[in-house]
Amino acid sequence: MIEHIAKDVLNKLIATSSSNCFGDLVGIEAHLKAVKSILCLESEEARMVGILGPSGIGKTTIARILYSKLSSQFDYHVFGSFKRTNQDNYGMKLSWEEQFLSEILDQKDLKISQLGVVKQRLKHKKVLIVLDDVDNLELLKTLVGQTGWFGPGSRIIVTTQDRILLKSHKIDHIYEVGYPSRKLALRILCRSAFDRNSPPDGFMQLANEVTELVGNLPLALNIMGSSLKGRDKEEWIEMMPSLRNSLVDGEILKTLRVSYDRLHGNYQEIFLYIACLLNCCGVEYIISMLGDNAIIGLKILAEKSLIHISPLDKTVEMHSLLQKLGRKIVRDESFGNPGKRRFLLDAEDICDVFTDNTVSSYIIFSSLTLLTSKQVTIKNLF
Amino acid sequence: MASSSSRSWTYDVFPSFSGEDVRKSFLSHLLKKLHRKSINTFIDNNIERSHAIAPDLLSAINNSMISIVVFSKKYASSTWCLNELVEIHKCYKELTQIVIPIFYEVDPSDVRKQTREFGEFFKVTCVGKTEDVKQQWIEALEEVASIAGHDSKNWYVCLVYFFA
Repeated sequence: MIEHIAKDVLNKLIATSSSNCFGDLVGIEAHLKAVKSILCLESEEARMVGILGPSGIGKTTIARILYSKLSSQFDYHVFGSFKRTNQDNYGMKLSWEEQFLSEILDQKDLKISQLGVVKQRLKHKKVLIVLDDVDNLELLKTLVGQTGWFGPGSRIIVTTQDRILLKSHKIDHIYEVGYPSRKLALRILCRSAFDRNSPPDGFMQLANEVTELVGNLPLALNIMGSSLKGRDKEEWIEMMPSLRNSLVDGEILKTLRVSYDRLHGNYQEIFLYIACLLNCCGVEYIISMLGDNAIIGLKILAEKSLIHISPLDKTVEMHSLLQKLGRKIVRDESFGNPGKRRFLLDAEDICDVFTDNTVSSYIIFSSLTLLTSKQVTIKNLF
Repeated sequence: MASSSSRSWTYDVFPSFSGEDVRKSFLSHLLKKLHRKSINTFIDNNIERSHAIAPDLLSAINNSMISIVVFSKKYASSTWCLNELVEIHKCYKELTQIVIPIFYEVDPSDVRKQTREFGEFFKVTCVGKTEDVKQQWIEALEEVASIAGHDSKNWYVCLVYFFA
């Protein structure tokens, strides 16, 4: 049994050290402390807490770290992101419940035949539930309808961009993630570009200007810093004009685009594959789809903070803003002529392509599930 | 601002235990096993034991990623152990440390509530101590013993299954 304890210790050490691959998290301690105080862990009551803020500010990162630190104190725990599916309303809720229960009870392929199982199964259990990036009130109603569904001491954390959503679900304990100060923003950039808190000699002015241009969104600062990591001063200077141009209308996607443009062509392609087709898929699956070249590609993308590889289940996650960027790049490739694009993401476009018979030889279909809603139309085409 | 992620730890594991109960038996086996897995554990051989908790020990606790607390019958008979526990509890609450309790021939609920034999030893240690100190100890015992850990009672059950 000593073996068992030693194994447990080693597993916890490994889990903790791999959670460090979030990069160097400047300012995270203050966020953790604030969320912890509204979580009020000593209270016996079950409680729901919201983490609120715009995309790219660090909500998921905060929730992930809290989850990895707190989960051992709970009987059951789950960290999940549940998205809309193409099923009808009832079917969608059923699949949410199935996925949720199979994760929290650690049983694959769990099947349920009617809604309301969550409410019954977890009544007296102390649970920690993190629902990440929620944009749908129905999801909250289905999975965490009331605190009374769970045992004493349970905690439910919801991250979202939508204040009304929290309000509608009567979640009053809210932590709003604020933008970092200018000083902190510079430090975030420096940590990811130089692995230190302040710029090395000769880089002060450049680092300051990049921070100014990128703005104070942590995601963008991290990505820009990672993309400049290990580069010499000349390369920084070379990149400045495109960065300045990207900010003419202040749109964040354009800023992010600068680091995409700096990728080698092969890696750009892998980036687009993930954005359009393979987000949230397992590493092995992606490699089996894209070939062994993807191994190094994924590593590079992760180093540049463009994807996150979850240490636990080895899935690749791309931030929604970056996914949006990737999809926009594909759409812009051939605006108004979907048949020439590499990926088709919109059911309308797919139908158009078939109707007009403009499909090109290198098109790769994406999200075939989209087609189900248009099945009749497609069938008519063949 | 120190960030937990960029922080480097001196030790992987800080063990807190009653020397009298487990040093020669259970603990020595556990330490060997941890060592075999290349887990860097704090060993307190060279620290002089006294009533006040030594600064070296405080810093060792604060610089360990995980604390393992081996609760045994006489754990609470030592002021030393209880003070260690208070520091571990503090790190745990600040989210800087993972704590794994091990219940060695003692019932978790006896530790939480300081009852039966475990409680008797605790009461003796409390004699002459201020309310503040006692309260800190009680809180630390309650909370640390509530963390999911390992119970020696279950090992015997496993053994029975194994030989059945």
